[in-house]
Amino acid sequence: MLNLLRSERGFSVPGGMLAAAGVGALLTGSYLCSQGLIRVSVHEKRAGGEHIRLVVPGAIIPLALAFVPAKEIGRHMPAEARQHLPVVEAALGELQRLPDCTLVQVDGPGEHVRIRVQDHQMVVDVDDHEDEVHLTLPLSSLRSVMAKVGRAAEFAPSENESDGAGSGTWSHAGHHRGGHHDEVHGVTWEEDDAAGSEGSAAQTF
Amino acid sequence: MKRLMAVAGILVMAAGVALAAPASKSTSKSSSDKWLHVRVEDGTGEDAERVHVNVPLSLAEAVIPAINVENFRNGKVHVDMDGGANHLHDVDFRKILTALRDTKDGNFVTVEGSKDNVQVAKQGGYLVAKVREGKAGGTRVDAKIPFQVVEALLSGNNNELNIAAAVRALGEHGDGVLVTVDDEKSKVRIWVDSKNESE
Repeated sequence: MLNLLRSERGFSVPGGMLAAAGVGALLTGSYLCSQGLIRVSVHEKRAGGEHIRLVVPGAIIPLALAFVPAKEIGRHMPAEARQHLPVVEAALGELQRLPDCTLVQVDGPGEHVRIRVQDHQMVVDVDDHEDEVHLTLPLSSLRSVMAKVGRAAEFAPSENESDGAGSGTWSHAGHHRGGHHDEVHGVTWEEDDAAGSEGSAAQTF
Repeated sequence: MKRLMAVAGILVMAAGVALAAPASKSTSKSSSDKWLHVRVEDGTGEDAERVHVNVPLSLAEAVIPAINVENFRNGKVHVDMDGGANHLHDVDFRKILTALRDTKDGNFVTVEGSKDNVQVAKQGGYLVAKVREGKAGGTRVDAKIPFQVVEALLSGNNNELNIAAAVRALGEHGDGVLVTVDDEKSKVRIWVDSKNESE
């Protein structure tokens, strides 16, 4: 094989470019496959109802988000959304570790709902009298979104600024960064080591 | 030079193959492999509605401390004991629990009414409660909670229920059925085991 590669005919310029393009395509394809595909399928069961199908490579999400300024997202982020970010981040972190499983299954007369984790993707299937919806979301893509939203949260207005309520304190158990006070936004970030606090609580019993 | 290009090409191909394998698959399994299962069956026959929920306790352990809403913060539920209507502040639950833990197995409360029977007992490290409503076909409630879970639940301050600690204790405990509720139309079963699917 090496003899073949060494031959002058095997390495002409167009041939080399073609090979490079092939390798590039292979790498791109491999990366897209590794990131999974976002699939959305909505089928309205009424006569003349819409049938929407959407398949997008999950790798596009972080790529697209790179072009959206975190500051801009943060500016429009409701205080409530920011409050629940740690919960979603913690849940996503654990969901990625799960083996294939069904988390929720509801079967009723003419109604079926199934939420499961399959191949590190969140799969939601809903089938009722009116619609049939199938949704597949790669968890890695969701994490990319959450990472961006997490960064954007630093630019979000504090609760006091947004609705005049609340203390502006966010206990962020999901993150492992040191506690600090954001002077600009008046938000206190606290690192809560849940395991440590529970352990100490158990000792005091 | 050409040999170098060939080697570089092979390395690039290898990198492509490596990228094709999902990186997340290499992650290790979570520390607690226990699952909390809830199964609800409401109604009978074709109109029956069945709900199955399977939650890994590791997920609950990770999520619960992150919840910070109203009375539920840092994995603990703050119980308002100063309300005018209730007198919970007069009851020292920890002392009661300690007393229960240190006593031998037996029935603590037995109520035999004309319609309902209630029994609360300690059996082999479990707090057991049985409620029977009515006669045949009435609602039957059976709860069997490990004492360590109850202890963990009350391990916070006086006016707190430590949900996160209780979930952790549940994960450290063995498999078992926690609660069953049966009546004519519906059945509820809550249990913990190591399977990721309900039976």
